[in-house]
Amino acid sequence: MMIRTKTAPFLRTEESVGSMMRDMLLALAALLILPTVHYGVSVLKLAAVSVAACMLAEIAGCLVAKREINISELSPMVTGMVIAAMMPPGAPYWLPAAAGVFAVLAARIPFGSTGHTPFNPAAAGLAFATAFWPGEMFRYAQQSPAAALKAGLKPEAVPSEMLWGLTAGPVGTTAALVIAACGLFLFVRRAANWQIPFWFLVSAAVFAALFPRILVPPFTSVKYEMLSGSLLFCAVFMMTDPVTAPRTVSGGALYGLLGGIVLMLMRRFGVYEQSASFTVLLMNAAAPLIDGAVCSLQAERRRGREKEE
Amino acid sequence: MKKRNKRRAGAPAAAKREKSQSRKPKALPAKRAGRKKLLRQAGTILVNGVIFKNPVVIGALGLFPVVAAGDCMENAWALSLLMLVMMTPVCLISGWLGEKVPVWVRPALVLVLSALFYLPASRLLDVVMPGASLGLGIYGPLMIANSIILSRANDYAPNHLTPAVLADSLGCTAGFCAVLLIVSALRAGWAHSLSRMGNTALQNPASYPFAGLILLGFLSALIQFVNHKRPEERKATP
Amino acid sequence: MQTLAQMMLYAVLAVTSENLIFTGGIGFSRVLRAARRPKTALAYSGLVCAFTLASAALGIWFGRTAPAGGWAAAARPVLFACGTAAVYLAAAFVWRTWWPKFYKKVEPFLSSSAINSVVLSMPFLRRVFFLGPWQMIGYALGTGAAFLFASAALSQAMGRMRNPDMPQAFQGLPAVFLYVGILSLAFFGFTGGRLF
Repeated sequence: MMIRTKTAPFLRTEESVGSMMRDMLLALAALLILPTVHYGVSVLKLAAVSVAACMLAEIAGCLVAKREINISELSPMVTGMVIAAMMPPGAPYWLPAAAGVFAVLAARIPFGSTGHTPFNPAAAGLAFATAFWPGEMFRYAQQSPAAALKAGLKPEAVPSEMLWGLTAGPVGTTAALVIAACGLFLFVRRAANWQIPFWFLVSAAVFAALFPRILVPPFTSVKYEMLSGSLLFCAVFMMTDPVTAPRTVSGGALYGLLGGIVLMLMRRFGVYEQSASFTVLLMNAAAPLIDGAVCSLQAERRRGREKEE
Repeated sequence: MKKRNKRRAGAPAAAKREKSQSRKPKALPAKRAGRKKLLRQAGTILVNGVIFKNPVVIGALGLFPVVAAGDCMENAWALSLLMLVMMTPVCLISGWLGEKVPVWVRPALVLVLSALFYLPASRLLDVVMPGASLGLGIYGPLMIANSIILSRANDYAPNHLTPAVLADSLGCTAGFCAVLLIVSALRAGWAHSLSRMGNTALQNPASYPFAGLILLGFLSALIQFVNHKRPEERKATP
Repeated sequence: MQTLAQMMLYAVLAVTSENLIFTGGIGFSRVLRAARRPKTALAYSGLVCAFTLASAALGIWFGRTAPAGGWAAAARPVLFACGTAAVYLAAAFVWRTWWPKFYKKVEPFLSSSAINSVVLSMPFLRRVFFLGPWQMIGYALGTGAAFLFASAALSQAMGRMRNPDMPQAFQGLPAVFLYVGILSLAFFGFTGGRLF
């Protein structure tokens, strides 16, 4: 009997990994349509530079590590697109390039590339760029809703503007309706687990209602918190990374719940107006612990049931 | 170079005398050969401490000075001086006390020794590099609990001969200082290039602990790569 | 009630924005050692917490009894180290004598949990952060919790640090350094800078 071992993400067939990546890329590309209409072709150039940087870093890393270079490997492209989506519209081209190079060379290649990364590489690259160049990462033409909330002010934008991406913010994270549509597409295609973003949004909404950052009714607080910053984008595209998220169903739900709380805590007590990438990294570190706890609990319950029988 | 048991299963005295008499004409060369072997082993231990078994990048010891405090050359030199003055005497004394001190008491004794040698070390630092102690903040006094000093003085020194302890402590000191200086130089260069770009970060980002850890990761990978290339027989340590 | 609230606040700060391990860079060697022995990580962290508390108490007592300047200021590091050594010796002696079974279980990691940079840093931190007694106790408890979280997270991650797809040069410790570095970057979102 031949024993076949597989690496994460644990999907049914190898083609599924490729189709999952293709669906992700499609969804991320769809996110760039509205920003291109608003800000021009520079958005597409930003995305191209980001993807190119990730691919070149991947090729360089594979050459140094003496690994086979697989140009059909879409994972670095997804990383590049996620990084591009989190950039401000007028970002200098070296910014996503730096984030992409760090994401691949420090968070992806050393750990064994696809299926082995303990952290979401895009989140690591974005956190790196935020730590080193916060001024460039949060440079917008006007005050973003996230910055207003951070300063304890009510955002000037109305919710309808925030639904269609007519507010200041990262290029791919401001159009809430488009993100929701992309999310739905990914969940239907089973390219992302719906439970994680669901519980993530639920816990974030409850936190926003119970502990509003500005003096508004709870529902208004929830509206502004959900539609500002990169919360929605993070929930759909970063928290759902199947390699770094928990493997168990209950673990995924708990992961989402805790992630929402951590993000809201970081928004309140953290230094930056947007902390999604840092939240994702923290939750990635907690994911194996969550899985371990869930599996132990389930094993205890099973043992208890067997004893009763 | 471990300490041998003094009691041996003895050969009869007559046979011993015969052996020693027959050995007499060869005594001098054997002594020289023994000394050469000792020096060579000590040299290997020293080199291992600097590169192949570097306490920081291979042993994961003494991380906080490199990661947290080693963000500029001034701090690096200050910490290197502290290490130089503290490590060797503590290890030598621990080696000389050897197994006279019960195993469970030894860690406390090593800590106290380390603290006692911190006083002249910090005094020397104030003389050689005035103001450097302030720059180190709490990381200077925390060198007392540097895990390189504690582990080598506790685990290695009591069970090895003095030349080996000396070689090991000097090698570990040199290895620690080398890593610290390299990481600090890289971080200082990184900070300089960031400031030229017009840094908008809240502080100098290259001074953050995560920058030190990531640099250490790549440095450790380089040493590990070099180690893998070495032939197997050269990896064995006396 | 206010005292308890202060204690809890500083305990939470010790785990998050004033995390000694990830933002202060102190105690990594011990965390790595605890992570390599996951079965004893809880006991190890418990001992670190206990000795951290004792060290914090030492710092509070010293702050109240010793003169602010003069010989005491110069000898402070030595006095703290001697105090830490004394606490360790007392604990080891008591457990060896009256609870030998317990001592045998904790012996492999007792000295390293009692004598390390995390424990020794407590009396210094009291002065750096201007902490009151209850705040110091909360901070010490939080540091123990942070140590446990760090070692648990690392021990889970270390199992993944030796897979055949990793470049050989990065297998083991180099990947662990990068892992801890990225995790330290994650805590950066709370602090935005250095702790000291």
